[in-house]
Amino acid sequence: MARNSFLLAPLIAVMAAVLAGYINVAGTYRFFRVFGVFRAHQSTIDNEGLEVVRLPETTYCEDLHHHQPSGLIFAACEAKPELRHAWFPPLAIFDDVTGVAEAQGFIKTIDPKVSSSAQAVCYRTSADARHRQ
Amino acid sequence: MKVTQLEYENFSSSFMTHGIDVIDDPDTAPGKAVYIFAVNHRPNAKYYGPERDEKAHKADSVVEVFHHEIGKKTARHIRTVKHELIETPNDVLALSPTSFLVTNDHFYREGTMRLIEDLVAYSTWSTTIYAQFERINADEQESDRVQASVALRGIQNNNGIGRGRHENEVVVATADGGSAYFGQLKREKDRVTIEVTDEFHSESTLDNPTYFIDPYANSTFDASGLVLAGLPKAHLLPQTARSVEGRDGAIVWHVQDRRAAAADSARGAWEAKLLLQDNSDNIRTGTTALLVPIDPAKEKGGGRRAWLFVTGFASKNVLAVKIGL
Repeated sequence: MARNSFLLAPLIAVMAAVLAGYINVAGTYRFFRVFGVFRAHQSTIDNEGLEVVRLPETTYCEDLHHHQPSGLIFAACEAKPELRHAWFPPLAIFDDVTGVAEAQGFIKTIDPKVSSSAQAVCYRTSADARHRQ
Repeated sequence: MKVTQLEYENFSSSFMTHGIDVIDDPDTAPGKAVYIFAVNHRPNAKYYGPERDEKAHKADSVVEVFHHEIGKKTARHIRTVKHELIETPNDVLALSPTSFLVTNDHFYREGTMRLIEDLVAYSTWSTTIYAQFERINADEQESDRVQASVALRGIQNNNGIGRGRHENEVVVATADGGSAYFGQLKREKDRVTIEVTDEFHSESTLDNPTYFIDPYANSTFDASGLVLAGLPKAHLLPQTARSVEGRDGAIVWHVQDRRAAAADSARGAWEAKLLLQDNSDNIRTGTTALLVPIDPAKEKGGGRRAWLFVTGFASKNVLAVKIGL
């Protein structure tokens, strides 16, 4: 009985807040869905055995653009991945700026045509990739 | 698939990359040369310099403009574009060799208000900026000959920006809101604004949108649609963002308008299909995805397939995945 009465007051407060419009239940639920709180991890690449090409030297490329007239894909990539985890304004990370002023990220072009030359590592699933490593 | 790194000419600045866009050089034949626009998050010398100004922002973010001749291995730096309205740039969309749209993903750069801005959908304080500029001389400043104005307000977390279904349409994606907004460009003499005419709400955070126009579309099948990458479990990002070994996964949606041909509604009937989800075993983080179609005449067994290129801000490699459309 004591435990029930301990939870009763907060429960009433939450219900009152919902009724008063201070807590948007639908909006809160959507927030949980968008941020993946309920989503299970899975890999459709592994589940479906998809063919994958892992492009070399394309580390921490946040954005791509496919230039249709030339057929090339342009990528903006980072020079030293560890810097991004220590100082990256878009994620409000300002822990350690050491080395950032001297680092110069890369612009890379990717020719999406598949050729016989061994420019990239192909594998079927992540399990295959780990085996090759 | 060949990867080539471009060597910079006339550019020695620090370069912490983010969004990028490319536009054809109108002064050459199509596909021969391009202008590259790239966001650069530089440390602010006013904050980190010897005479530290504690009130200065920690980042001095700008947009860099390069010129590249297709087939060559160099990119010549044209200029840095700096303006007070370009505050927290995320993605950039080139409109011409001397103008672009750039999203400011947040109003607050850090702290409690930044957290509120991320969590509360009504925090529609970020903007998309229109900027136009001219070439500058060596003795001029980065902020010289730049005009800028607000192109879009009223959306939480303007994140990625990309081209839409036609030349006059753009798509702005919000990461925190998990939504994509279709906007029509309104061009006036010295400014461009975006009028939002449609929207799509996804089941995940989103980032940089790309629009796939299917060159092999026919009367029975058309794979044209929006391709949207995001994080499948973004709520874990605060725990993983600072770790090189963190695991974040990626998720990619293919969004198509299922509106009947005869429908007179201006708004689309958007339907999303899951193209890919990964748990970080193959790719960590998803911020951009795009489709490169495979010629069905050359594909064994027929059928429509494409290479799905996926990448993220913490991906060890860009991944190309062969998928069915």
